Order: sequence, then structure tokens, then C-alpha cells
Amino acid sequence: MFAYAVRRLLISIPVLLISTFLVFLMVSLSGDPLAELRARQPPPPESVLRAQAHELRLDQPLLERYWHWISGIPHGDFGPSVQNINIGHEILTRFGVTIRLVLLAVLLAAIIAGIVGVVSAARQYSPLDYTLTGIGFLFLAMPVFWFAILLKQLAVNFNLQTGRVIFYTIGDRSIETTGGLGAQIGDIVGHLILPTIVLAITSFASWSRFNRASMLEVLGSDYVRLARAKGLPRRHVLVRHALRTALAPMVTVMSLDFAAFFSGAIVTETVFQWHGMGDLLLTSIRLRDVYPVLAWLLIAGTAVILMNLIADLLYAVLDPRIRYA
Amino acid sequence: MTGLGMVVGALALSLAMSACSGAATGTGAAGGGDTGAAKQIQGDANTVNNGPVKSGGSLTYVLEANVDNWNPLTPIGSTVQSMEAVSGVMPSVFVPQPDMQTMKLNTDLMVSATQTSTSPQTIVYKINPKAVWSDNTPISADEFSYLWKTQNAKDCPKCEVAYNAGYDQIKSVTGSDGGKTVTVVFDKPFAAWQTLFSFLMPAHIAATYGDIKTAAGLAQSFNHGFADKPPTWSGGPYTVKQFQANQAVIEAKNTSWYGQGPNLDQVIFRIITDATQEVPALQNNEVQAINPAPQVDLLNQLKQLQGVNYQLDQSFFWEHFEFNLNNPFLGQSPAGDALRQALFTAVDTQGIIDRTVGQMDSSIKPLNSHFFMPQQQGYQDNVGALGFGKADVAKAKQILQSAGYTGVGTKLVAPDGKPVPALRFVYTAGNQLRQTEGTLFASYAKPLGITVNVEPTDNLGASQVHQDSHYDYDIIVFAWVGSSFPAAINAPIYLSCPKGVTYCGNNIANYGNADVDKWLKDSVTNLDPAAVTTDLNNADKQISEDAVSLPLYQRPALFAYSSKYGGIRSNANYIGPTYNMAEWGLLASGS
Repeated sequence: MFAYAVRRLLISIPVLLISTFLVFLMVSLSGDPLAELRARQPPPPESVLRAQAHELRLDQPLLERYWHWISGIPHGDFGPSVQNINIGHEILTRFGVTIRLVLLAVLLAAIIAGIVGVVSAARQYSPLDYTLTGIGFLFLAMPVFWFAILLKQLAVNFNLQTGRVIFYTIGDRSIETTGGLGAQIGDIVGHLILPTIVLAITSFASWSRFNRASMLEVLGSDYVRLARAKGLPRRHVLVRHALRTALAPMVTVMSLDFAAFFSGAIVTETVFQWHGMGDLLLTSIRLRDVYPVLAWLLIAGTAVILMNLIADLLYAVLDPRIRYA
Repeated sequence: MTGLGMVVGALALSLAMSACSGAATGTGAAGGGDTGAAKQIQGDANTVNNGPVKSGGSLTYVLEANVDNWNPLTPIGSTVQSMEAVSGVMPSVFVPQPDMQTMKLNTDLMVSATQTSTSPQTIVYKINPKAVWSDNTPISADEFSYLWKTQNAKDCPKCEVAYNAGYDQIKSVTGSDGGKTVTVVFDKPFAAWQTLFSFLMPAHIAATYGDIKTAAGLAQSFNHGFADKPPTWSGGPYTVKQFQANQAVIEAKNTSWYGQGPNLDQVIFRIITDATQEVPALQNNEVQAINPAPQVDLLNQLKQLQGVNYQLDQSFFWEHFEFNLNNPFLGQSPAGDALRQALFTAVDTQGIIDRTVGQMDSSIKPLNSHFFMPQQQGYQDNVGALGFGKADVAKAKQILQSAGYTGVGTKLVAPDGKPVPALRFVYTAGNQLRQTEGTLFASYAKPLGITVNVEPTDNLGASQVHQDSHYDYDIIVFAWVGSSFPAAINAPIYLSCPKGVTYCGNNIANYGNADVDKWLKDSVTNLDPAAVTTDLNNADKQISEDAVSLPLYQRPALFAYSSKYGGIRSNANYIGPTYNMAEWGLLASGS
């Protein structure tokens, strides 16, 4: 198993490099990083534009620029940026912000999706199943930004009605908080709650559908019928025998979604102004700032590879046939 | 009940309550118990919202982008967010006032600034003896000398300067009286001398970044020392206490401040990069002042808030259509002149306004001047007086026919027999207003027999100056920015280029007129304001007659703030509403 994991990781390295090269070409050829500066009023002098172009290596051939970037990474140099940022430091900070946003939401969504999927499958075509299915489709169909804005407005109205700011609509924390530990925790929770609900609800909807379908397939299989025929309690059959097997396909979906979240829950971050990975990607693409986009891609690509690997390893935990194969 | 259950319950309660009462009712977190919707504040631009304030409290002000560069005098740092973040830290000799024409002496910093001679032009600045930097080093002539040397393009050729008009005309900067008197002598007169010495920076701190007696040391301190990191020093009422990248700039009172105020203990600049999130944040009292680009939806949303004041004013940015005179059909020749004049005659400027910014602010009128804003002394309608922008298609056709054009109204053919090709109208990609303006322009040109293709550019600056034989546009729409001193900033747009070049300075259209050159050159050196106004209006009449560019309107500016605060108001100048941060405060009468 260990050798398998190492092999998978080694294969991923050239894939990652090729993808950085392709993205580098696409972003570099998509426009002029100095466009915003050129359009300033009054326009900046030509000497300043030349100096900026030199600083951003725009005066070098394309391949040379890529080589400079790739050879700088082992030394912790992720290249220059239009945004005047240290890209390595920026990525670390942004990643921390995104992780805080994503972890709780994913956990919450996974638990709710697991429960809803099992209940829906166990009571297929019952009023409860129809209700949960309806709710699932409702959230599945709902545009994330619209739901986020709606939730935000509801929370603001709630604050107005109570005369206290309980829910916050921007940022991951207040810029300055007064009071003790309780106040600090209250502030963090107050900022976390709305984006977490948005992310959790929208993820839960698709995951619960996967889980329901997977559960239904397993519940119809011979070994589950055998377990029932042997007189095992219903709960025991559902949880010990059916759910465990049904979780395997859901783990694949969750791991891919989780990796996508790592690279930034772009819409949620924008609406709630969490300046995480998604915000960095959007800003950098808007400014045609190629090196932060590449750094972002490295993190996002690594997250996908790692999460796929973790999913494979989890299969083994969930399915003994894979473990012993 | 679980935590999630409580939240869902609370939100359900909120939904039910808001369904019953409407979103704009109840006791506002942002408001102070006011009733009704947001209040539009109007009145004397310089004193509006001038209620008595008390000491203490804080205010959170929204910046729409991170502060990437802290030197507002560099091209990279000359952004709204940089200027606003440092305006309470870097003092200026004169401060542009909201009325768009007054430059007020900063009487905290200065005792006086007097022009003592006109030949050679000499200004004597007397600095407040109590004025010190936050480390108690006196503010002196050294700071004046530093700004001059970094921006005059002689002492420091590698200093990256955004706009150096005037500094390159100074002959000497001399300190006396222990550095508290500064005498500035000009080589060539500079009428807008009050715009000089804005955003003073400490010379003794500059010296820690490099030897400021050398060009390299000056460049290092100016381009990097003062630019790369937030200032740890201050010469203004506030000092940067903390900078959280992409989050906020926290400013606290400067304990060595020598002037009046400040009233607020703290001003927080909060970074919100999505303008649509600013109104909910204001409503939720997470921020107390926002300055977004106005949009119809955003304004309507804002009007619903209670406990909020807003100002919808006109800014210094003015949108216009500009022809590319490098196109032989549009060049300065009898046929080209007629074609441009006909097109401007057919355009309906008020119609354009009604279909774009007029939906936000019905008071916006055609600008009709290339130099002055209607709020400024000297303004007069030089464009509309010629019949341009009045949608007079019959007159436009007549202009073309008189000039020898044929196919008017069907397929226009120039007097020399060549068919007029389709013209390219270029606008900034993603700018809906400008796209609409392009579409309307095309519709105004069609009855004349001219096809106009409306195309976006994602690189406006490059398109403007890309003037080889494959130039990017025939007509372009964008905004120039005005100033309290219209001569210095506008002259480079219309001064003739040398022969053989396709553009120069800001004259991207490659326009030239000997009389205009004479008036403009005089306007930047003449020290008599009345003569400058006459020069500019003479030039404006000629430029209008030559139909090189058609001013459309002043772009509106929106500023909204919690009604609990006084002293805070809109300012369309480069320095923004933060021009008087020391005067901001919680209203003494507020709850």
C-alpha cells in the first residue's frame, strides 16, 4: 500500500508541472498585466512602464520567464507580482483563511448528507423521502451567490431586529475585538456561521443524493438481503453492512469537492469577503498576474492529488477486499 | 436545540419578522434610532454635515482594494486606496476642498504660504514651529527639498513619479529660520503652485533607506523605502497602528500631533473588494462609510437604509468621445473636419445621459466644456453653443453635403470619391455604460450613412497610445480627470505633437492647432487667474470647433456614511473624503 501511495505521488509531479506550464502559457498570453497601470489618469510615464515590465520579467521571452519561475521555487521564490506581494507568504496566509472556512462546512455537510442519504434510502418513496429529496434538489438548484446574499440579508435583518450584531457579513473576524476569550470566540463564530451554512448546504445537497443512490444499490444486494434473512437488527444492517459499503463512492465525490474547496470556495469567499485562495485567484486573473495564479495552481493541484490519494486509502479502510487485494 | 438549530430558528424568525415589517424598518444597527430611509445630504460642499462632534469613538471606512504601495506620489501608489490610507499620515501644504476649486492652506502644518514675487516667481512657506514628525523631529525645509529633488526629473531620473508638473520648473528650494521657512524660486512661472508639496515625507527617514544626496539614494527611498511598507512615522493627525494585508489599515491618534483634533480615537480602513457587499456591511454597522462607484441597484438598496446619509455628487472624471485623427478620413483636413463635426452634431448627448448615468441621477447634464466643471469659476458652455450633441441630424447631413460628401444617409462617400469605411468605436471591456454609449453613437451615425462597429478593448491604456498604422480605434470613449487647476492637467491633452509622430504626451488623438498651443502655454505659466480662465475658454472654443473630442458628462460620485457622524463629507478630489479626517467625529447630539 505504501509503495502504491509513493508511486501515485511520483506520477503526480510531472502532471503538476505540465499543468503549471499550460496555465502559465494561457495566463501570459491572455493579456497585459500592466493594462490597469496604462489606463491610469494621468497616464504614467513610459519609463515607469518599462521599469515595471522589467520587474515583472515581461521583457523576457516566455520560456525564459517560465524557467525563472520554476527554478526559483526550490529557493522559496515564487516570482514577482503586480500586486507587490510576497507570493509564498501570501499563499500561506490565504490558505489558512480558506481552511478555516472549509473544514467546518465540509464536516457539517458530510454528516447531514450521510444521515439524509441513509434515511431517504431506508424509507424510499415515503413522504419523508420525497420531502428530503425535494429539499436536496432545491438546494442543488439554488445559485450559491443568490443563496449567500439572501442568507446575508436575513442575518442583517435579524441583527436589526435584535439591536445587536450577532451575525457578521464581511471578513473572517472583526479587525479589533474587545473583551475576553468568550468575546473572541463569539466574534469568530459570528463571522463563520453564515459562510459555513452556505457552503455546507450547497455541498450537502449533492452529497446526500449520491449517498441515497449508493445506499439504494447496496440495500438491494444479496449480502444485505442475507443479513436481513439472518434476522440482524435493521439498524445494524443499515449502518454496519450497507452504509459502510455505500460510503465508498461518496468518498470519491467528497474528496474531489474537498480539494476544490481547498483551492477556494470562490463565490462564498467573494460574498462574505473572506480573502482566501479563491479571492487570490480571482484578483490575480483579473490583473493577469501570472505568478500568483501559478502558485495557486500548485496548491490546488497538490490538494487534488493528495485528496485523491486519501480517497484511495480510505477505500481500503472501508472495503476490506481492496485492503487484502 | 443544537447550534445549527438555533441559527436556523433565528433566521426563520428573522425571515418572518422581515416579511411582516419590511427590510427597512426596525431599530437599525447602523442608525441611531432615526426613522425613514437614507437621507440625501445636499448643501455647501465644503461645510455639509458639519454638526458639532465629540471626542472618542472610531469609524470604519471602506477601501475597495488592498494598499499595495504606500507612496501616493509614485504611479503604482497613486491609487484612491493609497491616497486615502495615508492622507491622515502625510501632511500637505494645501488641501483641495470639496467645492472642486478651492485649495485651502493646511493651517495645522503651515503658518503661511505667500507668493512674494512674480519675476522670478517666488513662494515663501512658513511652517508651524510646533509641527513635528511622530518621533518629534521638526517638519522642515528638508521635506520640501526631498519632494522637489525626487520629482524634478533632474536630481533623481530613476525616481518613479506619477505626475511631476511644477517640480521640474523649480530653480531652488532654500531653508532658513532653522528650517521653518522655505523659499521656493521658479525657473518658469507655475500658475498651479498650490498643488505642490502634497504628501510630505520625512527626509530623515528617507536617509535611512539610502544616501539622499545621491540619485540612487533618492530613488531607493522614494521607489521602495516609502512605498513597500506602511509608514511607521506620521506628520498628520493619525498614525498607522497596524496593517493587515487584504483586511484593514488601522490608524490611531498620533500622540505627537501638533494641530487641532483629531476627534476619533481610531479610523479603520476596511478592505472590501466587491462593491455589492458594501451596502449590507453598512446596514449591519460593520462599516460606517462607503465610497463605491454608483450603480442603479446599489443606490436603490442604499436609499432603503435608515440611519444613513448619502451624497450623490458629480466627480472630476468626465466621460467623452475622442476621434483618432491618424485615420485619414477623420484627420485635420476640410473633409475630415466636416465628418467629425457632422458626427458630433448628430450625437444626442442628453439622450446618452438619459440612457446611462441619468438613471441614477436625473440632474446630470451635458458637460459642454473640455476644461472646466460646471461647479468651477470660469465654466462656460463652449460645445453645446456650436450645436454639438443636440441630435440635429438634418444639420449634420447639411454639413456633409456642403463639404462635398455624397451618399449622405445611404453609404457615405468622401469628396475625393473614396467610400468612408466602417469606423471602429472602442470601449473598455466589461463597462456596460460605455458599451451602451458606443451602441448609441453607432445609431446616431447610421442616418448619415456611416457604419460604426462597437468593439471592446481589455487594455484601454495600450489602445489609447497604439498609434502605428494598425492603430486600435477610430472613436474611443473614456474619462479624463479634471482638477482644481484645469490648465496644468489638461494642457498635455491638446498641445501639438512634433511633426512625424502619431501621438505625444496625453495628446493621443494627434490633434494640433497653433492658436490652442499659444493659449495653453500661456495658461500654465500666467500667474493671473483671470487671464488663465480666458486662455482656457479660448482654447476650449477652438478645440470644440475642431470637433476633436466631445465631452459627455461628469461621472457621478457616491459617498454614504452613518448619520451618527459629523464632519465627514464627500470630496471629489484625488485625496477623497479623507481630506479632513481630523474633523470626523461622533455627533455630540447623537445617541
